[in-house]
Amino acid sequence: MNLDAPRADTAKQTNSASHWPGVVLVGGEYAAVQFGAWPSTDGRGGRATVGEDCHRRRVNEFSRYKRQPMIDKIRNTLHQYAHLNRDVFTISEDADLYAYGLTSHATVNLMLGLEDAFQVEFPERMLRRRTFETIANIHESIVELTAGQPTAAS
Amino acid sequence: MPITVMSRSFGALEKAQRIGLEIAAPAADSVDREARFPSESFDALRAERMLGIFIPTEFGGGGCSIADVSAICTALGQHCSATAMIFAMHQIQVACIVRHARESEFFASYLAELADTQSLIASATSEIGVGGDTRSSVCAIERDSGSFSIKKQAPVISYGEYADAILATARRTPDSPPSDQVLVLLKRDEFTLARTSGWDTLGFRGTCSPGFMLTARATEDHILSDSFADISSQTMLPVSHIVWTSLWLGIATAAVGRARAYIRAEARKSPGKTPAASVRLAEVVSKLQGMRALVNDSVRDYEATGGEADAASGMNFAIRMNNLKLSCSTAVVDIVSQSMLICGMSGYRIDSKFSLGRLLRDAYGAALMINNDRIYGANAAMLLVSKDD
Repeated sequence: MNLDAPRADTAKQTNSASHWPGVVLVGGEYAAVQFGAWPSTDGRGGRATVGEDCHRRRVNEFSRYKRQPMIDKIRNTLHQYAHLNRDVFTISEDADLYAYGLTSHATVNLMLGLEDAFQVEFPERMLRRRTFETIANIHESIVELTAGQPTAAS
Repeated sequence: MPITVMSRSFGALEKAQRIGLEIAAPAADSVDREARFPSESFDALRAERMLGIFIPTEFGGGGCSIADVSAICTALGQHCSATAMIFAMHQIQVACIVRHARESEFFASYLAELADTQSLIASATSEIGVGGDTRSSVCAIERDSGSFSIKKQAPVISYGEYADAILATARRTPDSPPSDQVLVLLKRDEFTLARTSGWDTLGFRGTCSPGFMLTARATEDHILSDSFADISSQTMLPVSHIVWTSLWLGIATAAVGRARAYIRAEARKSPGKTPAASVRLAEVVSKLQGMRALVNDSVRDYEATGGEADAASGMNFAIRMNNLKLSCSTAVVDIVSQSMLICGMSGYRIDSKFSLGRLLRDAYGAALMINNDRIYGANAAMLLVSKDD
């Protein structure tokens, strides 16, 4: 999280959320432009200031706003490629997908589908069972891979 | 032959070489001809506590490494492929328990029991209706009040009738999908085996692998807590490929040994005249070195994961472990065939000290246990997403 003033060349208003006072969307990161006091420490272990609290709240609300379309897109991709024994849209984000019939073979097709849908490439270290174990895990990986990119959320 | 000198091996390799040469080898033809269990070998292996070598010393085992086990499989494989294969498959089961269940009270005490009694463990992973896909089960374990029951139609259970225990796969619950599997330990007094087919094959005849209906009932603590998916990718598959290829290396080494002996005998008959097939011998020795290098490299590859679940779950690691099996199963047939070409009629005869028939018949089994085409298919799928090493 970049708490400095946004760099002029990368600050972009890419969606309506950036109209929220105090927050500008900078790529996949969030920058606090101005709101209350700056944190008095480097953010690690220091007592949270009012400004930091509010900033964090806005980031959480912001990420929820961005999160849902991504989760839906993941579910759609699962629906298309995972061939689970249950309706993907009824499976909770923390449920074990392998328990719903996700096989190694289907995982490969799922990876390809996700790479195509999100225009990312899973590095070798992410090609593990754990990465595709739950919808939440998949989301976490995609967020990590799309950090720094302009939002491509449909 | 790779000589691995490890401080923890307690002379295990030397014992294996001696048992191979003095006990397994003389019985090998009979074991093959009669398709019988190599009981002489296993009496000796038990007496020397060789079945427990892969069990950590804290449980009373030999504390040997995968490198030690690989070298021992190669040593045994030079003398009797059935002995080596049964020994290898037993070590795979031990490895699964050691790497995935030692934390449990039940399995910790079972490991001590294994080391003490030198019990032999068999494997029931394949199933009628599923083919060679070990990551798919039809049968399921059915729990009730702290126990579970299982009924499995296995097309093969190697040395099942001679085993003291069986590790079997099954779906986690009757409602689980085919790929959601667990691995369970079944002791001799907990299972019954009803033979459903015979074992009359071209090679590996002494592994006694007919089909069975396996019926069992045991307490829930017999279920390994790790998913079979993890056990398979982290342990069963890599260890299987390493021990199998090690014993195939033994078969190939024995064949080349006969070819070398034949050429030397020819050279002695006519000193100064290079035997016609000596260049072929040079070629096959080179191929043997390649096979040996791949087996040794794979042992190091596996050891480098250091028991870390994550490193052993990678896709490129899985591809490499598959390539080990694919390459070596092809190489062993090639090497034994070429050795026969070198030995000529002496190799083709059965009543000859250079006989290579049994070795060649055994070698052909390598590509079929699991069928190479299935493994190439798995690698092909993984290569769609895996990134360069």
